[in-house]
Amino acid sequence: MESALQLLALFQREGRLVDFLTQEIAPFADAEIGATARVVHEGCRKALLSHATLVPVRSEEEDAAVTLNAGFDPAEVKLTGNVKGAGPYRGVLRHRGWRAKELKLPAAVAGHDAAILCPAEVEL
Amino acid sequence: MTDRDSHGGQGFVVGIDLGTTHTAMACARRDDEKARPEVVAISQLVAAGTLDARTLLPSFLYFAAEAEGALALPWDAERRLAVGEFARARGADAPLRTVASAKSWLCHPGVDRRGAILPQGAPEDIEKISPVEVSWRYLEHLSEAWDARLAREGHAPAPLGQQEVVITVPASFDAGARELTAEAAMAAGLENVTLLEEPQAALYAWIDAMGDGWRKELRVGDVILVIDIGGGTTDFSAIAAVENEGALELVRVAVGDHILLGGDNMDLALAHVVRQKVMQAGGADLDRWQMGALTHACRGAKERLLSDAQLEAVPIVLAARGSKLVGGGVRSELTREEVTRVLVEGFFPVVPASARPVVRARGALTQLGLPYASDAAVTKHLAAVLGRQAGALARVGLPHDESV
Repeated sequence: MESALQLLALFQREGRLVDFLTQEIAPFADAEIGATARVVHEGCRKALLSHATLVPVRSEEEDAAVTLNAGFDPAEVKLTGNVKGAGPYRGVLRHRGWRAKELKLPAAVAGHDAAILCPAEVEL
Repeated sequence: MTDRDSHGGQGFVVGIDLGTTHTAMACARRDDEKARPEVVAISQLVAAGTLDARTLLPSFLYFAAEAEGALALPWDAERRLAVGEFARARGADAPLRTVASAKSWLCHPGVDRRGAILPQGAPEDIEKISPVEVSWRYLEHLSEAWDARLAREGHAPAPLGQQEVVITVPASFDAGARELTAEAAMAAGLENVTLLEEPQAALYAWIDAMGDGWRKELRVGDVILVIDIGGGTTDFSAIAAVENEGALELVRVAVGDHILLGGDNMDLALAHVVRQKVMQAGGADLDRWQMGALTHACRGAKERLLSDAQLEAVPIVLAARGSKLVGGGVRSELTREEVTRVLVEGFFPVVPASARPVVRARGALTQLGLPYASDAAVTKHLAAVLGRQAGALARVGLPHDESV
């Protein structure tokens, strides 16, 4: 729970993600949403890449033909389409998948309420 | 300074770049001949009550207001001041409670550098501290974060205070500023400190990166110009390769003034260009908070434009400050033409060797502040250094051209 709150606070602090996701965006034009998306994307991307080491699950290019030998890890690869029989399977890689090799999140100092994702601001 | 042999080859050698805007640290094990220096991530407050490890420690110090309570760290629950990312962020929110550019104060001969003068213009509830103490606090933080990391990761204790520490200082630092840096290190508990000039460190790094190739690149008589354009300062030094009893030796032959002009000034200049465009397009003037965000956005846009020759413009978006993000922001763009004009013509114009920076007499008021460069043209400052040091090569017995 604590680390999930840290992750939300991180994306809010760096990329205003909580602000973006909680706002009703239907009334706005695409150009305005697009402009905001740049802010959110830039900040959240920086936060993600500096705290998580992400690698593709499969090293092949997407849309390349792949062969899965019997005994592949079903948690790593999801089979779709005409799924039947036993392996080896021949198919096309539709998504390379993502693996978080490492994730280092900020930590709360003892006594800090992690539920405050972003403090209110009052200018004096 | 302790005897090196007393370490018995154990422990670490640690390099600290105590910069004007950022501080960084790298280490290598002493007992491993092949060890490569590794950048050390520095635990620091990045937001209220939130600790994160970053490779850079912004060189900012923030004094908590009474109502804020303590700025607790895992190793000190009662601390009333913060250094690093949170301090920098608070600096934008509450500038009078924040110290920035302490290193520039440390080498400012016009002020009492041991006097409690920072932050300038601080409210009365702050007990001001000296430029030396600010450097001490940064080094103390590095030491605490280092010790805490070793303990957290289950390593044998090796307090930073007892490691072989090298701190880099600008070649332009006068004897006083060097002494004060050593004093700050001592106060922070660093017992075994060597000061190394930054351009020398840069040259060693270059030699290291070249492998054995550097011997081909560098011959006796060569002079290397090291140009260090930092966040807040610029330094020029010339280092000559000379022969000493058959061995190649690198000797610093010239050093320019410590110029208070750097990348931050360039980003701010770009921000003012975009601000003008926003206002000309009928937008309201930007407030201080928006200017801060704009400067940050311009830095990112500049880096993209300068690293991708195909890009002609990069959109700039300032999000609304409140929680309603979409719809309230300011949109503009930074173009290649603007970056080229502001940076090349403003900061790096092509100038004759005889060019010199404009020096403006400083009024009584500004003398209280930092002596910022009044001419933004880095190339003019460089021309001045080269002109002034034309005789330097003769002094180390190298062939030289008298006409320069």
